[in-house]
Amino acid sequence: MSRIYACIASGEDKTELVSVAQAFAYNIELLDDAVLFDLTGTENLFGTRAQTAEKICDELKLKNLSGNVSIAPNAASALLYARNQRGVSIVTDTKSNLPLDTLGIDEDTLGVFHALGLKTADDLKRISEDDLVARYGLDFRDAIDLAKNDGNYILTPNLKENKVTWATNFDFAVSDFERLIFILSNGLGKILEQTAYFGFSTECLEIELGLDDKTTRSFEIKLSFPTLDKKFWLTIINLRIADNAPASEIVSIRLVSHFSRARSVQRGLFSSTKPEPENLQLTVDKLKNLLGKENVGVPVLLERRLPKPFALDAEALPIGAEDLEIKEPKPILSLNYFTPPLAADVTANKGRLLYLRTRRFSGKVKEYGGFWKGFSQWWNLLRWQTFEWDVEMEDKSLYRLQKNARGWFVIGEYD
Amino acid sequence: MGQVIAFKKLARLQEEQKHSETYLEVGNLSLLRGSLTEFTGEASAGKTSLTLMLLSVLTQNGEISSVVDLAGGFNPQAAKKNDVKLENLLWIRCGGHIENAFKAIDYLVQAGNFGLIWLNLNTASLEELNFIPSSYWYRFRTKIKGSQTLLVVTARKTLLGSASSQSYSFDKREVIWSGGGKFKLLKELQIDLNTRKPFLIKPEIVKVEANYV
Repeated sequence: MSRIYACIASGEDKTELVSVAQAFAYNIELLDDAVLFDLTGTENLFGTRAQTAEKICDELKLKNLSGNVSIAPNAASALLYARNQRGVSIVTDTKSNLPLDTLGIDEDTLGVFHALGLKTADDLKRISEDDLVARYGLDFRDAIDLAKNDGNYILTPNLKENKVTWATNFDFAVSDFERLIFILSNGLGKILEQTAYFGFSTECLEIELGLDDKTTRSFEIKLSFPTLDKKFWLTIINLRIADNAPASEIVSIRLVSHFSRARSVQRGLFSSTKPEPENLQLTVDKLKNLLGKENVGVPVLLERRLPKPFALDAEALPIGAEDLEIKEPKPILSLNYFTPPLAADVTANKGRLLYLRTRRFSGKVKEYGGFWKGFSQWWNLLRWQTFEWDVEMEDKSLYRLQKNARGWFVIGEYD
Repeated sequence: MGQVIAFKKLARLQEEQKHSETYLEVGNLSLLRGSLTEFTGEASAGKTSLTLMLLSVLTQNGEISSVVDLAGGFNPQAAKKNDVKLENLLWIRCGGHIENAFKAIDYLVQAGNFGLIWLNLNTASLEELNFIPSSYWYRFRTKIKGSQTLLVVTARKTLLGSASSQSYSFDKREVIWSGGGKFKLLKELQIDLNTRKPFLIKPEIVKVEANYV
């Protein structure tokens, strides 16, 4: 199969030029002054080289763009002609009427050729290749190849698709999102197939619902891992949108799949088994639907001196990272919080805690340690006004007792 | 009498050999994966500390584990002190709704391959605990059987009955303080660890250190 390359050299807006090229090819290289693209195998689609060039020109006119267009059997010639010959150039294997100074020949050599009456590439081809290489060195072979329309420039696609889109409009407005799942499944299948066709996977889907009241509602679903599992995506979409469906009726759907590198699964022979990422994500989503988004996530410590110096990161998922060295397990006394803290009645005498009563327990204080100041935010009203004690009751239970501006509280038990 | 003791030890040895790959041995605990375990005891009996010790081993090993926190009692700071790898932990706050806690367990068991699922019922009142139908436990037992998941339930009283494969009860023994006068700090909690299942053994003393840093 003969190869066909096209090039548009123009100073016009690059995005517009690229959009013209995208109408003809997938493999596109965007250069400073030109757009080079591979048309190999498109003869049945666009016709002969001349017809293809005509179609490219039509597309340029449609977008009000101007530029030189070339169609050539190799990338180097396409680029050379588009850059150096005005209008449309259909390059054949045999003839080349380009001036010699377009072939990258140095000034001194050009001067010699001009003195000898050599003006075009065709003139140069008449001289023996071996003689030229013997006289000007091996590097001169590049110029000879260009003159013979046989340059060795390799098109390197640098313009990559980063998303695919699917959209549909409905004949009638639909009020219930769940009724659209069947149609959504079809569209989802298509964009995931296209994503796979480009050799990518996706971890971000955008869903835009056009509504009957002329507004749109957008959802963005981002995962921490890429996947092309249609059933999984459909379940996630259903979980995220069904409970949060728009009030107005839906008249159109648009799906966008953003590309990301496919997941590489490499597990060690002895590594522990973990929930499949899809399973984990679905479980977390189900749990968030059940308990609220803010109640499911990964615990994180805040490096601040607060009564509860930790938070729940609802956006994160457990990662299953392994430590190289496992520390010797040793139980450390842990404080379990009471949420909310238990209001307490405290009997004290001469600064000594004697008796503690809450709605859950009461008894004599056997031993205690403290107090400590447990809250140090200077801008807060409670700054340095929170005092804490560790208290042992007569039944050997251990609690953390707190006194603040609102009174006495038992904030947790040691366990 | 001596023969009877020897027979028990041999039986235990055989069972351990049979399940050598599925037993998790941490400190004084020996737990069979794919089964239910309960830690019971009054306040300050050390249930949480020993559960965190289990979590520490599993999460450092890269296993994803989960805490189903009924009433917001879980303390990530204490977990960190016990060397729990927090980024491998899924924290689920149930806001005091016991039904939601059980639904959450259902989802987790269904997802499969969690290292440990800890149902923290420590702060639940006895009335609440009495309302839990025992059928829940049998369903969980059936679901996780043969998996690698350990379902650990901590509560004030025993709940699981014959659904559990291991049942440990914790008794407070001694609280040791350091320092004197007003400057006292908790130093150590000594607990008696009693095993009710699968073997009734002599209670072992476990020392739980306090760490204020």
